[in-house]
Amino acid sequence: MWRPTERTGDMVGYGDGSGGIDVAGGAGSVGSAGTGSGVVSAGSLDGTGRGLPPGRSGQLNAGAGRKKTRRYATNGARYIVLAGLAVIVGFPIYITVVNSLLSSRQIAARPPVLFPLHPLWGDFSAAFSQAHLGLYLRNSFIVTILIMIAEIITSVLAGYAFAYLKFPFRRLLFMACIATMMVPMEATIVPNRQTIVALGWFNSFPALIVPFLASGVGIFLFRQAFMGVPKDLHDAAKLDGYGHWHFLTRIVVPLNRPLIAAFALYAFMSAWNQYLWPLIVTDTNSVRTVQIGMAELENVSVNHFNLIFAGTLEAALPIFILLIVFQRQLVRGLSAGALKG
Amino acid sequence: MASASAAVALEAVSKWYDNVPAIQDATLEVMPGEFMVLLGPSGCGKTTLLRLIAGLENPSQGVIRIGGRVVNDVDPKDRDVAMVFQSYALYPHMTVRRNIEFPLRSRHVPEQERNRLVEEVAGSLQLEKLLGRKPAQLSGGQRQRVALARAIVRRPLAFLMDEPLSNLDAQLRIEMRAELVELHAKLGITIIYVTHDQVEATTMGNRIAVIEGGRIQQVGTPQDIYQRPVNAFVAGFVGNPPMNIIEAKVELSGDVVNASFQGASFQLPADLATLLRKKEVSSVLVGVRPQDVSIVKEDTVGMGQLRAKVSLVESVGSVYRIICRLDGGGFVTVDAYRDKREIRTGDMVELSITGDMHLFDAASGERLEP
Ligand SMILES: Nc1ncnc2c1ncn2[C@@H]1O[C@H](COP(=O)(O)OP(=O)(O)OP(=O)(O)O)[C@@H](O)[C@H]1O
Ligand SMILES: [Mg+2]
Repeated sequence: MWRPTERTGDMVGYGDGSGGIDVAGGAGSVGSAGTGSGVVSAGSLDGTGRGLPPGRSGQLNAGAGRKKTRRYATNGARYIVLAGLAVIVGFPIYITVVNSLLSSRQIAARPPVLFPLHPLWGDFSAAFSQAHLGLYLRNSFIVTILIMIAEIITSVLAGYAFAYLKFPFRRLLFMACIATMMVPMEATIVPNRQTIVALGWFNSFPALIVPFLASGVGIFLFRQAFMGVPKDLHDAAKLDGYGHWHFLTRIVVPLNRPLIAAFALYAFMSAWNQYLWPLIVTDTNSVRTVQIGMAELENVSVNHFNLIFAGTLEAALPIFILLIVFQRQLVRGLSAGALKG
Repeated sequence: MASASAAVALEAVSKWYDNVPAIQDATLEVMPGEFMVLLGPSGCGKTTLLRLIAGLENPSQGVIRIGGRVVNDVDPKDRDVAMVFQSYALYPHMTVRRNIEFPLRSRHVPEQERNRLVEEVAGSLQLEKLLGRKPAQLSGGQRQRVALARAIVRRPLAFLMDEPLSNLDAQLRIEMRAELVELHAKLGITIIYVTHDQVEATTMGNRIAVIEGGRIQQVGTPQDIYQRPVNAFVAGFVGNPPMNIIEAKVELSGDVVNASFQGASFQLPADLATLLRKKEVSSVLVGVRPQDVSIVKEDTVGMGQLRAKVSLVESVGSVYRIICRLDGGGFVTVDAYRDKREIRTGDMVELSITGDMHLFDAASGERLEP
């Protein structure tokens, strides 16, 4: 089961390159443009690193033919390793799909059945009806979509404020935002639950949604990206008659659309996959989300592995669809990082 | 104190960044329809001055007027100035048309009117065929023209241009230079143009303000500035190649005044001699333009000679540019028209000052004038 902290860890890793630079730049209190170019150069450094794998330069005096052969060999080896990894990652998913189409007895069979000759499609609807999957999915959608929209809005606005506005305690507040990324959810989960209970939100949608309306990752991500927007564009917009709001909506946001799409996807996945938090702030089906439904499915259908597999697939389906549809934006957004003038 | 007719007027404007002065006590008037060039070396404060006028920076001191109105507290968008940035600052995600009409949209110009204006400007800058493209699909020169179009379409009181041609290649720069001058004449617009390139400045400007170290050193027509530089900095900065400036001691002996330099000494012309007697300066900077120095073999009648060794001979179009190392140290550039005589690196020559001499006080650098 996936947990928020793990995902946060990923994102810290991604942001780290530009983050390191920013802290250095910030310490010298360089203007926004200075730090902005820092982001860009972080990106290009990274690119250079990938473009020249170590050892390339050492082959300068090898014959051209041998060099070519060597390159094919290296590439071939790479593909083999990657293919191996792909099998390792893909196999459990494949097994889940296969198992969802088998009967319980076939699933238990040894050696395992690796291809469903007589697929049983009925398990999908059975999982739906027996485990209230429809209700859980609906709840998950409500919670996830609201969280996603709110996170985008708050992150974009806060990222903009940190990148462009001058206000008291700006650095301190930004540090606080970054700090939230470092604190694992487990550390705050108990006090947060008490707060929710005190607010009388136990067993309600606000309990599932409100704690996730803002995102340290998102604020950090967008601040870095927005600082990469050339300063001249801001000045040009000022002279063209646009204030902060229009500069944000007509220039900064459109320019960062790929990154925002990528973040939307990330926010969706994080919210959709939540388990621990919904579990401890709800105890009735009416507001529970699909991941908890999954766990319950396990309890109610101990003997029906096929149902569990089918339900699991159904719960993961929205994520699959989103990933497939937005694959390009995701890759572009994550690799673009900062845009160039 | 400023005349009300100036399009843009600065009165004793200063700007400090954290106690570091970027602009000090700048006073300048730009007349309507004038092409004013701000010229100076990198870091002298040209951009800062332009940004102060645009309202992108606030002055620490002084008054800025645009069209007679004090604009110190007026937002950039309400100052009625348009700016062309060195980076062009085109909005990358918008088409050329959208870029050009962007300033009109914020001013709620009705769509029909907007289209008419965009088409008109696009026509005058040969951009009609490019209106549907994005900036990334344009060449440097085309981007430059889009940036100009975006500024022109608003019909502002003054155009501020920050090194708008510096990203273009040499050929295109010359073309755009001509295009800008034409545009200026055709539209009768007021332009404040920043550059560090004195060729641009002298060929385009009606007047030039030479800036150095955050201070306006001299304001005048290109001829003024070339012929009567107010101080040694301006003298050395304007003119290509730069003026030769030699520090010399003043020696009064009877009727004659000599400037002596590391052993060599030459007699100063009568008018300058009178001037120096009056001013009682002991040490001067003698400025001579390269074309006012000539190379002589023997001691001729001139005002005195300087011995030097040829260290480099360059052929620049129709002239030979000869760089000589003086006996006492320091270099002198000489522009000689194709000569009867071949001069080669390593030759020993004597230099004679045959044209105008400029004298500056060695201590202050100020021009010495009657
Ligand atoms: N935002 C700022 N903060 C601090 N110092 C600044 C700032 N902007 C400019 N300066 C300083 O003010 C001085 C003038 O800068 P400015 O950009 O006006 O120079 P410039 O004449 O336009 O130079 P260039 O030809 O290189 O563009 C420089 O010493 C610069 O370091
Ligand atoms: Mg500049």
